[in-house]
Amino acid sequence: MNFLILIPYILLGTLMAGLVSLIPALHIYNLAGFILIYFKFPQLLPGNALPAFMMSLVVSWSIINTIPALFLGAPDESAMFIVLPGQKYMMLGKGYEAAVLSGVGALGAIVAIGVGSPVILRIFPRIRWLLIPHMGWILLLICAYIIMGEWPKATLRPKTKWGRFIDGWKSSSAGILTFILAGLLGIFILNKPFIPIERAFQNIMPAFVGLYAVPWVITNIISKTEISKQHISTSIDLDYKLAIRGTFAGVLGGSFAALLPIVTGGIGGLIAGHATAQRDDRLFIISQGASKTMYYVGGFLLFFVPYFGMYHLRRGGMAWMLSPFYVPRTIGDYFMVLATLALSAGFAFFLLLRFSRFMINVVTKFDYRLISLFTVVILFAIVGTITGLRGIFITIVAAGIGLIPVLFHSRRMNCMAILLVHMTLSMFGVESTVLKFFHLI
Amino acid sequence: MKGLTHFTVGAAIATCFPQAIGLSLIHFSPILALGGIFGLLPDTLDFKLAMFIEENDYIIDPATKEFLKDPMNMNSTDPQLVANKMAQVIDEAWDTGREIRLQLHTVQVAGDLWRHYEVFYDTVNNEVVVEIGPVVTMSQVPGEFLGIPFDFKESARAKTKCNILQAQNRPSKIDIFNGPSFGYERKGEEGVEIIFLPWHRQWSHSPALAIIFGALGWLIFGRIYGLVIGLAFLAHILLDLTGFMGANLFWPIRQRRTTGGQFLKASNPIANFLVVAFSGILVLWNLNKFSPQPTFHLHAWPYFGYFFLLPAFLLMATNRILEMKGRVVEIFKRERLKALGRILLLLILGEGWQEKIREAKEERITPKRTRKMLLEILRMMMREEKAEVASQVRADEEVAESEEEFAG
Repeated sequence: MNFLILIPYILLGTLMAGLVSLIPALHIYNLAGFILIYFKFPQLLPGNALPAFMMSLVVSWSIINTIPALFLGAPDESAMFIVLPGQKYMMLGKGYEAAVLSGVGALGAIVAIGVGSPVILRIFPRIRWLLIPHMGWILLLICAYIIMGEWPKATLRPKTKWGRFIDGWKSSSAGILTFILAGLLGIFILNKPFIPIERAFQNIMPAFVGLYAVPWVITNIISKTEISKQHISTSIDLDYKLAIRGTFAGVLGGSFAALLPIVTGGIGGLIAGHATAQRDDRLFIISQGASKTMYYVGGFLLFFVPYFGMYHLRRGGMAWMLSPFYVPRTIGDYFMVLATLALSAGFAFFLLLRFSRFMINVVTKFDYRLISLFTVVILFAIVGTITGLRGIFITIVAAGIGLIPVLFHSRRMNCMAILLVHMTLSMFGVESTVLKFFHLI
Repeated sequence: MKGLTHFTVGAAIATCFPQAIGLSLIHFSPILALGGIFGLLPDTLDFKLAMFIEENDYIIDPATKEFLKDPMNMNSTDPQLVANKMAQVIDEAWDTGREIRLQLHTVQVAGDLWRHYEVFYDTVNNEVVVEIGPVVTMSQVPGEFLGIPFDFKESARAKTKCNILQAQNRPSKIDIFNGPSFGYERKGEEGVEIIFLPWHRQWSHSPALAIIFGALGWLIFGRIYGLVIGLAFLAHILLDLTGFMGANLFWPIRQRRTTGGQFLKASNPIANFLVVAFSGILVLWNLNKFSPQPTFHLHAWPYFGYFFLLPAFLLMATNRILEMKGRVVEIFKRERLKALGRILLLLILGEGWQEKIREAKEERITPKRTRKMLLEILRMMMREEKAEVASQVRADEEVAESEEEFAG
């Protein structure tokens, strides 16, 4: 099939995903599911247009979705680490530069995918196949690292050793408490159908919105955050070495998340962040942009890798949604998708620049507290529309947990326990004991 | 090395035991995760315990009356008073001959606002330098807060009676949460040595503790658990010995850190990445090798060669090329085809390689002697470079190493 025929669909997908990315809480999988189920989209599209369209949705969303995290402080799980440096840039009037840096990282990840396509083709499926039986201890390792890796934020002022110890452990304890509560919330909502059964596939979405998006926005309202005058720069303070290092770290973290089931983009971001712990915000933002794109795009790309005959790896919601409608058959499909993501990424980067300017105009023209208030309303409206009142209740509970790290200055990555604890218990075969303990079965 | 590096090395060591992989697969044992956990434990013990039980002889809290110009204004810290006090403590260590410890506190001026200040030891003039800076946010960003300009700077110096022994050329920056502590110890008639974070890498980074944890693991869970725990812990200490600050190898007999081998900076991104990458590749190799149904069939040499040695070489070479980009481009433009050999010489021998070879050629006649001489020059350069780097950055790296670990 001539690739030129696909171009309009790729551009359309990129644009649609770009617009959806601007709305906090709305995930691209929501849009994709909606299109596939309600619009009978597959029947309307010729040949390979459906996978090309879906890939362009994922690419564009992974690049442009940093905008709500940067400018509204309302990230999704995979963008949570970008909020803090993003707000720092906003305070300095360099919000646009932060958006460009994340875009540079994302483009770097796309280049890395292109260059590394033989590796993805030949090696990734084998590594994934090899690691699947070992997911239990790998998840336990990640849990241990999240808990152990948080150093206490002590003032060391109390005069006694015990006083200093208790003071120092306040933030660490808050982190551990967040981990436990998020873990329990995960066990409850993933085993008990709180959400109406017809919307049960969205059971984790209200919790994610509550854990990651709502707390920052509430903090912005309470702390009367004011945005400095923003400067739209025509150049950015970045050299190629920083760009390469940031991209490299991001690709590393994102690949880890893309390869392993259950391991999410947030964990990819965590690894990318630790791999670039150089006290350079530019490096950090680039690595986060790269990690997010690598996670979403790299994970989805695995679906197109021809491996065990007709068996295809499904990683991420998009692959699962697409699989009933489309089966990749040849290596040509894989390269078609590679070309798609290159084209889509270029267009998405252009949109990122335009949309960032638009968002800067919005946040500087209006009172930031009003914008934050409006963002909260949007978050709850979307959760309510998709998951109903019960979903809103879950969001409120999750927001309570998500506020703990914000208020006690502990790490937000502890919120990842919502998935990690449930899955780790399941992998170690002790989940049923825990469920019995809570009378969930 | 960074926490993630220690963690992955610990996990990689655990996978070297086929019994451990078997236990993990068949009995759902967490033994492989224990490798990672005990690989990180020495730093966890330091930053979650040792830091709090340290006793200090003196505390400098710059927001208290003792250090304020105006007793009614906590933002009027006088850098001269702080510098005087620090110099006084160093003098006391010199006079009494005992180790004295000093804790510097941070200055929290409002909920999320902190006053930034820096301390620096000028070893040339034997002075303590203190510079009070602006107010910063929790993200360490300076701003115009409480009427203090964002570029505010006020510094002061105080002379000590003795020599200050620390070639530190980077100041300790103090702003959010907690400040650093320093130990001051007299070294004979030479002067007073500055020990940065005296509580760090002491008992927690000792082989004795690795043996204790390993023995406990052996007694409680079994031999293989003890081995995994003990070796992962020991690996952390060995990795730290590649840096500058070192570890306490002889605790409880000796209470002082043993200086590291100074091969690597703890913050070196390439070194950290290569260790993490090697650990990951080793984990995959072990999991495949000890799996009942291996996913790939490769011998060790091609496997580690293709997946680690070759990429590692390319990474290091690329980094070296990027460092010398200007010279490489210049040679390439000038000499085109001959450039490859010359660029290689530049990368291997560094700047001034032409002179070095010319000098060698002038003195030598036979190719055999020339080769011998070149090898000698190479060895000499490596020795010189190492010694120069070590003397310049040793103390600085100790500080940087701890500050980075400290920042998490």
